[in-house]
Amino acid sequence: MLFDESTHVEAEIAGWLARARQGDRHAFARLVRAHQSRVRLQLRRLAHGDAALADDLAQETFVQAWLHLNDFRGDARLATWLHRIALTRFLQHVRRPQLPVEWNEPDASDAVEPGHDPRAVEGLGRDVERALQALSEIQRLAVVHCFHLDLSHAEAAQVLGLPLGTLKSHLDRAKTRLRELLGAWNPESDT
Amino acid sequence: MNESERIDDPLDALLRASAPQPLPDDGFVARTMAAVDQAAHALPAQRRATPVAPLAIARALAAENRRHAAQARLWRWAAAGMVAGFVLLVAAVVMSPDGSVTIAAPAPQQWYPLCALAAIGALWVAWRELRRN
Repeated sequence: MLFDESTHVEAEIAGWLARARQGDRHAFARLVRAHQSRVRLQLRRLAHGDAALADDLAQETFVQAWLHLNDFRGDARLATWLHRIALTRFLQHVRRPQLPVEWNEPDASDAVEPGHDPRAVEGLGRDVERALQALSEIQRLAVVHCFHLDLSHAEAAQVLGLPLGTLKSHLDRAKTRLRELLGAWNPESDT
Repeated sequence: MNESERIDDPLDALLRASAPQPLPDDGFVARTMAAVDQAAHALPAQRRATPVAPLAIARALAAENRRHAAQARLWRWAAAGMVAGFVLLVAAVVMSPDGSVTIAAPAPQQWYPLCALAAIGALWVAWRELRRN
C-alpha cells in the first residue's frame, strides 16, 4: 500500500524532526539522509550540472536548516522548506534576490529539433533531457520541481516564489513545447 | 501532490519517469553533520554584541579626552583665581598706609548673598554636567 508507506515515512520524518528540534543531532542526520538526494538534485539543476557547487550549497542549506529548525512552523512539508532554503542559498550565491528575468528566455543550445524522433537515436530519457534544455529556465524549473522533485503545484510555487497561477501557466507552456519537441514519441506504443 | 494533479496525461508520466536517479550519500551526510557541528560551535560567537567599529571607538575616546582636559583647565583657573584673590587680599592689608585696611570676619548674615550666588553657580555647573552626560 503506497499510501500507508508514505504516511509511515512522513510520520517517521515528523518524529525525527521533533527530536532534532530538541537538539538531537542523530535525528537531524537522519533528516539529512532522507532529503539529501532531492536537495542536491535540485541544486545541480539550478547550478547547470555543477555537482561540486551544488553539494556545497546543499551542505549550507542543511546547516541553515539546523540553525533555524525552530523557525520551521510545519505549515508545509519539510522537503518544501528545504527546497526553498536551497533556492534562496543558490540565489544568494549568484547574488540575485529572485529568479532572473532572462530565465524566461529559452536556452537554444543543445535543444532537440521539433519533429525529431526521440527513440530513433538515443534513449527516451536522454531526449526528454535535451527537450528540457529547449525550455526557458523558469519553465524548466517548473517542470523539474513538479515532476522530478515530486512537489505539488502549490509546493513548487512556494519554493520558486511564484504565484500558483504563474507556475501553472509556465507548466502549461512547457508541456506544449515539450509535446512539439517530442512529437514523434507515441505514448500508446510505449506502454 | 494531490489527486487532481496525479490524474495526468502520458507526458506527465514520461516526465516523472525521466527524473534522475536518487543520488547516493557518498559521505555527504557525514560532511554536512561536521559542518553543522562547526556552525553550532560558532553560534555563541555570532550572538555576541556587534563590536564597535575602531573609528567610532577612536572618536569617542578623543571626545572624552577633550572633555577631561576642559574640566581640568577649569579647575586650574578656579584654584588660581582663589589663590590670586587671597594674595591680593594679603597684599592690600600689608601695603595699606598706616594699617587702615584690616581683615575682619563679617557677621553670618552678610555671607548669605555670597552663599546664594555660590549655590546658584554650583547648580548651574551640575545641570550643565548632567546635560552633557
